[in-house]
Amino acid sequence: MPVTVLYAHGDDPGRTATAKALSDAGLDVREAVTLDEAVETLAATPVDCVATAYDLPDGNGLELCSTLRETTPDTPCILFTDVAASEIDTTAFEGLVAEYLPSGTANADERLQELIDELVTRRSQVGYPLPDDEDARLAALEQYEVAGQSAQDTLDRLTELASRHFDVHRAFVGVVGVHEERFLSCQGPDLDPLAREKTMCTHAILEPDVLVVEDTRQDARFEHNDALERLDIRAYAGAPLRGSDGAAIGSFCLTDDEPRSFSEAEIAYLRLLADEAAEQLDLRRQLRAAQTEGEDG
Amino acid sequence: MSQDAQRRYQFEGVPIEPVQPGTNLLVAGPPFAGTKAVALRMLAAGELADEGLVLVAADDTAEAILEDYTGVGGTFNRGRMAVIECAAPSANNDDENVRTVRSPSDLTGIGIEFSSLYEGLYTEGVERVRIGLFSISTLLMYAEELQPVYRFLHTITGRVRSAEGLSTCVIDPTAQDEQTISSVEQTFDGRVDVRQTDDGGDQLRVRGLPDQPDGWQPF
Repeated sequence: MPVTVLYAHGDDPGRTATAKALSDAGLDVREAVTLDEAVETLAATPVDCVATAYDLPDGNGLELCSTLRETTPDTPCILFTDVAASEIDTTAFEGLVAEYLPSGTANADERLQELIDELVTRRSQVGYPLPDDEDARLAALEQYEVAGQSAQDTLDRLTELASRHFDVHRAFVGVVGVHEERFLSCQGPDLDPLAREKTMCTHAILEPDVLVVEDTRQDARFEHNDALERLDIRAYAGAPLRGSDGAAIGSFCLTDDEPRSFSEAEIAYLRLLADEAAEQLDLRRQLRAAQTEGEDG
Repeated sequence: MSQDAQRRYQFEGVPIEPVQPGTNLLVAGPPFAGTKAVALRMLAAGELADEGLVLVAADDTAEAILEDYTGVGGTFNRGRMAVIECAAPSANNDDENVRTVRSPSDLTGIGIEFSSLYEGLYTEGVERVRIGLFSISTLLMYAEELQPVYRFLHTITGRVRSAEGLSTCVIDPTAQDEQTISSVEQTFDGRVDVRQTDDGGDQLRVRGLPDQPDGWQPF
């Protein structure tokens, strides 16, 4: 699938020329003349990257980046402009972090295309740590996606067992996808998909073993996370769900609305549940692979 | 010497073996243990090969960090070196090699100046560039949330990887809890720990990179 880029720039023919150069390089380019138009496009179309002039007829490129961070925070943003770095007013945008590329150089369009490619393939504007084997992990996750659907009843039984065993606010199984975490099964108040930079499982999948956070407000990684406040998450224990190659595709989690500790025995029990859930998913993945092979052969 | 060995970034005078282009190093140690000096020496070693340099001085003024850089034997060459400082701009600063961002909390501003300088060096044909960040601890202290700091570090380390540069980014383990450090460390290829022994000797240890000396090394 080609990389989709939103390119916002008020002035023709500069915009058209750059858009054509990007299209010629194989990108799917959506042009916008104004900030409003760019924001509308973002609302209607998923894009992989945004490139924008700094000055737009009705605003500026940092305002566009700001909208992007609110809706799809992972999407990289590039200020592609002839405005000098020192002339860009970042006062109201300190935490956005965007790339900057001068548009006035001889090979600017070519550099833009290279930078888009780097940002998209390296995911180098995400607001959270990435596992070392992220590409392989996501490839493995794809195999388990379908397995998750057919394992719904099993996962529901496992989260119900967890919820009966532990006195917690929620017990759930979540998988950490490319941009967000999705919840395959949840006992307790419902969970909608959540941006990866907001989820605790993003950190749990980096751990060799169970991640325990007894009080989210006492942990620098989570203390300012408004999503956790909204979802009443004050304590967390998450055991990684490992695929057959060892990569963590998600976690089996317990959360509580008050700070709490988890005993060794409780952590061991959670580990059992996670291993069981992972094996159930893996069996379904293998079954599906065997069926596909059978059909092909 | 093989071509591969020649392309590596070397650290003359520091007990660290040369590393592959595109390597990002977290340099972790308390301020008193000479952590900043080690990082600066690792950067100054690039002068032997006429490499470029971009220093991000979040802890200090440009003047102060350049004094420290000179103190470890470096020479600030304006043809291929630049500094970003995070302080109130000094009067009439029109020095193209010293960029000023309002505050260490302005990660967007630092990132834009960084990309502008890196891109400028590249355009001028300086292909090998070392980056020094002093320090992640200060960025964390000023940041309201961690997400922008991760985003900023990904931006720097991503640029270094794609342009085959080298970065040394300093963090103070006495100012951050170990969970925060280990999640920050995830963005880097290797870690250099710096410590001072009871008898006052400075030591360092490299982890996460191939072909490095085992255990603590005096320097």
